[in-house]
Amino acid sequence: MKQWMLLAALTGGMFAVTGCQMSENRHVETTNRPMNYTYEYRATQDTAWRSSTAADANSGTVNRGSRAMFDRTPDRSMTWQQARLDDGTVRYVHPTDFELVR
Amino acid sequence: MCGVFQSRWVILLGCALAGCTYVQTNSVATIGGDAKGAQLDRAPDQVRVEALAGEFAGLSATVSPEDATRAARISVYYSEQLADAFGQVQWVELHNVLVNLGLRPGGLCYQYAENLLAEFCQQPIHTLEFHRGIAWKGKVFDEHNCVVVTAVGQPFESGIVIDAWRNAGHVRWAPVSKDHYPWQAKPPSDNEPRPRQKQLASRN
Repeated sequence: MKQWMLLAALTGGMFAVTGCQMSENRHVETTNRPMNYTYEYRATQDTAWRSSTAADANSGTVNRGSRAMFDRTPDRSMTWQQARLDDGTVRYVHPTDFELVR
Repeated sequence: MCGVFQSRWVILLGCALAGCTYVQTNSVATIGGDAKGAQLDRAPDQVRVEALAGEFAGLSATVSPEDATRAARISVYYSEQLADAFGQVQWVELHNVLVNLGLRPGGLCYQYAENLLAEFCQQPIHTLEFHRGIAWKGKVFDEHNCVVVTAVGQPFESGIVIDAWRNAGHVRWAPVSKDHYPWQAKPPSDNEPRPRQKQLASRN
């Protein structure tokens, strides 16, 4: 009996926390939302990424064929441009090393 | 007592009951319906963007292809990025539990909808309008929220539902008129100062 009561209470508690996604008049803060990277490109060759444009920045490699999302059409006149890589990180990459996904 | 708490069945029961209303999870295409929508759900993102852009462009001859593509890119890719930012888990009902327990920064349906709406409204898109949609308003276990995209000046019911929550950031879309949710336009709340829909800019 005691176990059934606990079960009922627990289930009720789960209801309370899971079902609660009513918007009502709640204000949702959107000013700090993630930046929008919606231009899909792929690396045409193994190419470097950097965490910043500073000389001592962390660096790594974007493998050929890997996807990178830009916030606009890559500017090929720039040496570095920010892009969002498939692991969710935002890095500086060489825009000339990427082509549009078709 | 420990036996009860250790039982996976209790957790499963609670989560299952919370999502007790049957919900359709696949997209719905204007042409091809559920079958085509489900097929597109499995397609690569680029294909999904093109298909959704086609849906937007089909809303009216006044919709520019550029606006349709831009809105489709945001719908597909930005939904995924929001999911990453929220630390979304695949089982959305479980994710709601985590959000409500303070273990995730967000990811409830109306949080997806509000963030998407804000992003849409910030874009230089002039031939589409963006509305907040709500279904089963006020029903604790059923309420759902979305963004509805219409051509400028067209009724809410003619629009396309953009639902980033249902499939954990993998955007689901459907014509309002063909979706099983009873979508209604959500009026602006008192504490929302920004415009709720993007109006056609004056072209004088």
